[in-house]
Amino acid sequence: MTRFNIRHTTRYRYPGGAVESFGELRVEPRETPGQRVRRFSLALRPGTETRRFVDYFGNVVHDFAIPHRHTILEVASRCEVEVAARKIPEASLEVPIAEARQIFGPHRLEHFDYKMATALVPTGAEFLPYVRDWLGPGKPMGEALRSLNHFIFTRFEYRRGATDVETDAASVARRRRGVCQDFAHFMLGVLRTARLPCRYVSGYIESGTPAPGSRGPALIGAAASHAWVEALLPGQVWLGLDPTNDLVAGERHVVIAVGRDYNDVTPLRGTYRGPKAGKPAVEVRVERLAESSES
Amino acid sequence: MTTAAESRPGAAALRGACVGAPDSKAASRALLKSLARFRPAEIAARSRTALNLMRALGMAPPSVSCGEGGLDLLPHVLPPAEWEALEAGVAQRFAAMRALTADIYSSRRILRERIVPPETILTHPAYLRDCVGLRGPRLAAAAFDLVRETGGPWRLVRDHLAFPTLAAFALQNRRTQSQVFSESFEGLPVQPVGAFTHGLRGAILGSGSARRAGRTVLLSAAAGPAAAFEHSFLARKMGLTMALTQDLTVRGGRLFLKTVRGLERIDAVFRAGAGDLLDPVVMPGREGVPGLLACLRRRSAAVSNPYGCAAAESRALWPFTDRIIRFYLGSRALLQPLPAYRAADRDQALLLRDNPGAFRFFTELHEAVSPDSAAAVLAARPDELVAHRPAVFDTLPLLGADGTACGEAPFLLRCFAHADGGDVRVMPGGLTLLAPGGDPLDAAAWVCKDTWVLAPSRARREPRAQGEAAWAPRALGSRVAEALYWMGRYAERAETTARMLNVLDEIRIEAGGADVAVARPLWQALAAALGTPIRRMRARILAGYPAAVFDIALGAGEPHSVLTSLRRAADNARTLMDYVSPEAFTVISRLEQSLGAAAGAVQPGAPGALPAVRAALDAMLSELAAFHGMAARTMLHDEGSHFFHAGLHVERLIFTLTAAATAFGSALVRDSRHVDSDLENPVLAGLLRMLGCQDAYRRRFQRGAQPGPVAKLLLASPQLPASAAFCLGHLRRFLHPYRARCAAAVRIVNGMADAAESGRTAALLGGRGARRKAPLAAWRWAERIGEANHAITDALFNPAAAGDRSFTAEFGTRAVARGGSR
Repeated sequence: MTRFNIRHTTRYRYPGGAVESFGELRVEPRETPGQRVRRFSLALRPGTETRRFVDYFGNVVHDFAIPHRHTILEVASRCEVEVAARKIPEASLEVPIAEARQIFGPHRLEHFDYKMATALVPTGAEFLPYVRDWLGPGKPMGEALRSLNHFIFTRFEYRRGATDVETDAASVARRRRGVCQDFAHFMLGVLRTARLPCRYVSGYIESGTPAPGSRGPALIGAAASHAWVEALLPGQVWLGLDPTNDLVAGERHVVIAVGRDYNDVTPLRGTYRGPKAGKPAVEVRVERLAESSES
Repeated sequence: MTTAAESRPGAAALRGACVGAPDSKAASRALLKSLARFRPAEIAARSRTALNLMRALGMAPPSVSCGEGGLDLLPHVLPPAEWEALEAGVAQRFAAMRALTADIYSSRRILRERIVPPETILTHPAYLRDCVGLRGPRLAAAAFDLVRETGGPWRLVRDHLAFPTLAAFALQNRRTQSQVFSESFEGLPVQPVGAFTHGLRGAILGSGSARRAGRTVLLSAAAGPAAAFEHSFLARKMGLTMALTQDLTVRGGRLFLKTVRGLERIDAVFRAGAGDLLDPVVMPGREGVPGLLACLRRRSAAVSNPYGCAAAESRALWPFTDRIIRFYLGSRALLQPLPAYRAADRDQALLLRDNPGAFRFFTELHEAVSPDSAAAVLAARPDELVAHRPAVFDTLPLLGADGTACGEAPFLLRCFAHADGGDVRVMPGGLTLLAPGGDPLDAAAWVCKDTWVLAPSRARREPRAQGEAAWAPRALGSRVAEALYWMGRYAERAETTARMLNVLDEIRIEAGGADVAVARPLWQALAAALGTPIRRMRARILAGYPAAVFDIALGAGEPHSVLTSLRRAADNARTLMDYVSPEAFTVISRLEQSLGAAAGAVQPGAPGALPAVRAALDAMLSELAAFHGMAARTMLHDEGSHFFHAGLHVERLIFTLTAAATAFGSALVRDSRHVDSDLENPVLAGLLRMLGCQDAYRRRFQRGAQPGPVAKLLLASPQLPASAAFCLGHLRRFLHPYRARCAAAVRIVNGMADAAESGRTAALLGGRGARRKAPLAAWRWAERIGEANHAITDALFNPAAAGDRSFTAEFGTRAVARGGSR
């Protein structure tokens, strides 16, 4: 079991002034089978009341309103999260893909949202070659997912600035470069084209030290929040896959929110009135506190 | 009219033929036959009257182009037996849709119990996941489009669940029909439709939060004149205040209306229009009220119809009609949609793919898809595609432009229903839309018909009494106040500019058509009052006098022309249709049309152009007087009229001050000061004529126009409407109730009013040293009035940002903030 202390600060500056800022924050990590949130605090500047609720996808959301004039909006969250290594049942990993689809069949309504095409994750022809290559009907789920994950890691180029928040999975498939959000969208596009339920995860990743079995000195995704994918396995187990780091998400990943794509889990969405602001300054620090058992 | 007043022996026969007709087509044909007693020219003339009335009201709906046909004066007549079956079908569908729209946002039993497949609801773009789990009012009202297959049953072809779109047209059509062709009703037991808005109001208020159901606004998206007509019509009839999204604001999780006296709490919203107008926080880039969804989550406000209910309009649900109705109501469906095939169903998809020519294709969102592109949609997005077998639809007779029958056209009947407690009520009849182009499923142009349901029907129940009195905000809405203020300013600008142009042209004619020196400072004065650079105005006049006059009077593209000012006044009136009385609105709307028509008819360079322009301006001046009279007679003399008059006086003040200062600064006036005589100064005499106070001057001073007395009259006469002292006195009284909110404007106006009344301002123009000071004073005054105008705007029209003046410059720019997750 690992404990993390996480600080996440987002700062918008409005040199021309802003009024009537309304928004929703998805920054409080959700509880999952492998993750407990021991402490969470949220501070906004200018100070304002927030209200907590749980959204359609089960994520924790805080809404806020700042009606009066302000030139800065700072959202600072702190949390302490306990992450345990999860044992994925071997049986779930070994089910062949075609059989998994059969098992999912009766749960069509529950899985519908996570199988549907969205604005950022279209499905169809663009992804078919990848489905053929990596998700053949006879392949065991675990092996197929890991090999697709590895393929994205090795063949897609991590490059900042090559894409933006509105880049969809189809254009990622064509250009084969981008950042964690794009890799996640692409992977979702392949899995959904194969009619497998899967969801987008926004969260944090511990970085700074090399990941075991990974190239490079540090994990990618440290400077800001991170994104990866969860695919559903038979037995109602969600398997986290991080194609940016060629990892199965585990003790170094902290889940904040899940959804169909980025638009469902945007850390801050909202509007204000005033001149357009520049890019926000985002700072994330993930600190390991203690280790209660072997990692 | 030949036999209108006679009691006709044929009346009973007609009644028998209509009431006993097998269907509405036969009944309508019987009525058409009876119209043979009128001369066609008479019917044609009345059709034109109806069309003009509809135009004046702004009834050119975006989706329903009334074309030249407008309202067809031959009504669609529904015999009692046919209507009873239809009414039951519509009421049942409304009840089922009410249950369905509530279910898909709560427990979703219809999906869990597999009555309909998930994609029929969950892929619909109107399905708002952010609204799942909100507890609020259920569907309050809806509309349904029906067609009748030839020799077959009525079929549903469209649900309108967000809003009973075009109900106002059905109600207004009945009014128009009875106004312009009351004889057509003769002897027929036509059921009235007027109770609909009353019942609708009950449905909305009954669905609001039970504690304070009264504080309800009708929320409208300002989407063109037809929507403005429709929404303001309903707001007026229902006694609701109409609000646009920018009129509402959220503070501390509660919803408020912006008024000239601050924010006023709102509990319930009736949203008008098909768009969702929800909350840009969850719908980035879309119009809405930021923070509204947070209010709905806190249940501090309620919205009808519920957001996202349009997801149940999907065509893909039609094949499941029987199952849905049995599931919710336990009964058999009385009204079936057109038989539909879903491409999402594999077997049906094969049928569609192999026989594309045998079907008509639509998306689930009701857009027609050509057979050629259907194959592509079928392959890529089968969930979205729905198909029907082609069908032949029943027709109704149509009256031509000449007043005689001109064949028949297929039609669509839109029925309107609202909740009445746990019950449903259907407007008797509805809106009949003829598609002269031939296809009621995908028509580009429509012609309306009044729709008559004939009694006897089963006994009507009166709608349940709603105890609450109509709520009206304590203070005038800020947007309404602002529009009234600007309407006053533009109406005054049009009027004064027209009057000045007339006088300038008279002076030219009196001088035998020569370019007299006297006219130059007066043109300068007009240019200054309009805010046009004098050099541009002079260059234009030199380039051609008639063309220059035409531009200032009727130039459509001119920012300062009389026509433009009048159009802006009318534009503001259009946003106030829930407030301005229809009588006053009709006057200004016709005035705008006739001046626009005059502008189109005059050839600026042609010989008769000048007299034609003058005639148009004279006609406008008398019509404008009629407008002021009509408004004074038919509208409340309340806070709103104060804003209208405040705008008018601000504009008049600007004209008087700038025109006077400019004229006094001219050499012809300056140099006359050295001549100590009783001779009339021609420039000042012209100025008095332009400002409409020559008679007042003569009566008061009984001598020729001279600087001192003219300055005194124009600036320091509290009894003369054109005088600065009069206007400032009016503004001072106007601002008094708002002195706490509007301190800056009060300071400026009071200071100017004191200076004007004391004669200090007049001394600046008429006294010693005026030669140097007059032009400077003009600038200073214009600036001060500008400041007062800004202060009023900030404090009263934009209360949410009061005390935040630097911001108002950015008003209207809205950026979407999004966090980066990289």
